[in-house]
Amino acid sequence: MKNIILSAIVGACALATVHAADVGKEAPLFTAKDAKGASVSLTELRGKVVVLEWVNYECPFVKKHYSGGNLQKLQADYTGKEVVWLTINSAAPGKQGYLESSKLGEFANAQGNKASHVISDSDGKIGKAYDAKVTPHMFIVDKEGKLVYNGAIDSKPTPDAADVMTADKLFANALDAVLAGKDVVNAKNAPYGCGVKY
Amino acid sequence: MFARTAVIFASVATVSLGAVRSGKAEADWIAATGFYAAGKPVQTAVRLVVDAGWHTYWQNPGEGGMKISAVWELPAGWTAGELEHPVPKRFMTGELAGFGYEGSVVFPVKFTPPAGFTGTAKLSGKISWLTCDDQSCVPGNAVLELSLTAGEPTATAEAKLIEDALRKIPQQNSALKLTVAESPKSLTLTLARETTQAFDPANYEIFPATPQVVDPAAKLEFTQAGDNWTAEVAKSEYATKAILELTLVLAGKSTQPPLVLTWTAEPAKSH
Repeated sequence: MKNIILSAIVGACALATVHAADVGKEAPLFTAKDAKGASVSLTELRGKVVVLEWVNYECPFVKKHYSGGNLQKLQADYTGKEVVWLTINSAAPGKQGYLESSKLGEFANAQGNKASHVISDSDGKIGKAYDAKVTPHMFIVDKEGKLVYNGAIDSKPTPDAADVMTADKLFANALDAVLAGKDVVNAKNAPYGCGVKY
Repeated sequence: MFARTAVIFASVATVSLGAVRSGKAEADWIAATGFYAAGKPVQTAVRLVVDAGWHTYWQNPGEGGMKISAVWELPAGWTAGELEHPVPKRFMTGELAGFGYEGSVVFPVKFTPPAGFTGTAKLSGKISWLTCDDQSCVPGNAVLELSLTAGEPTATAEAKLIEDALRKIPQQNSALKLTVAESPKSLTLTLARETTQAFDPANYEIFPATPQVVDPAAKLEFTQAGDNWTAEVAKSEYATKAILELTLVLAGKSTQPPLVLTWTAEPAKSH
């Protein structure tokens, strides 16, 4: 009996410590259905580099990166390099940018989204596990399942599409480093954008 | 004939000094004087009037958000001062702690003509800002113009408004000294009095002006420790390197003028 109570306490502590996604630690595990109904499990993606991109198509900072094709190009380029790219919408029902799963898939398609999976996380479980704050907010999980990047897509926190060309490509540089087996410089930095509409 | 009419309309539009509505705010550019004297700074200000229920951001916007920016186009030899930020207020945008403004906010900025400048001076500025409420964020931008004529400076109708705005701009204060000691997750801030001038941090609301040093959700509350005051605050989760600088803005809760205090780390000693 004592043992059961003890293990329950240990279990609670473990939950508490994994709630935040810390760079350098194991990335929070999750299972979800994508917009086409396929199952996506981070455990099953072990061995691949995984990108998590938080999206809200009504956010001007997201529009900045889709209107000129920047995000679509990043998605196409890196999925072409064996990266698994997850575009995740954590907007809750009734909030700005919420789209029911199949509608989200249609909308993403219409935007020319080239992600491996588009996921509606309308209960915010994945978003909260990663502490996704804004859209766009970018995360990279390495082949061992370790979180290796948590930050901005680039260095210019404006909604102006013209700034994409001149910004430091923080996220793409990090992903290039991961793919090259190098350490990520600036692995944690402040993302910019609109708050995730949990 | 048609073309000529169009050209005349366009030129009239460019000299008009009106408010421009964009996104969830209205912007205009006002001057304390309609005239300039060569070599002497002219006090102007950019005013944003933000729609009810929306807010815009301070120089440290907190989590998310974006500070106002201005790109000036000035006549040859004119120089622009800094776009100064009045003391902000705290707010939450959904779950994100931030700093900024609601309603009308006036950002003073000075321009200086070169010695010997003559004639009408046309100044132009592209202003970009962000407004958010709990539901969404909407950017705004406006190209504003200001036309100044050479002459004896006399106060405009907006002079009083700019004067009031300048009283909300924090000023350097040599009577107080800020020092910062860094721990893994927190910072210990110490305020020391350099003179016998009366001071009580309880009379001020205190804001971190340097982004990504102090957790924007953390309240800066000092308690007395001997002759000094100390506060322990959570570090920003993005402060991943050694902290080298912190500027605080102290906004008086009643009539105290706002203050700015800056700490910079001692340069590392070379061996």
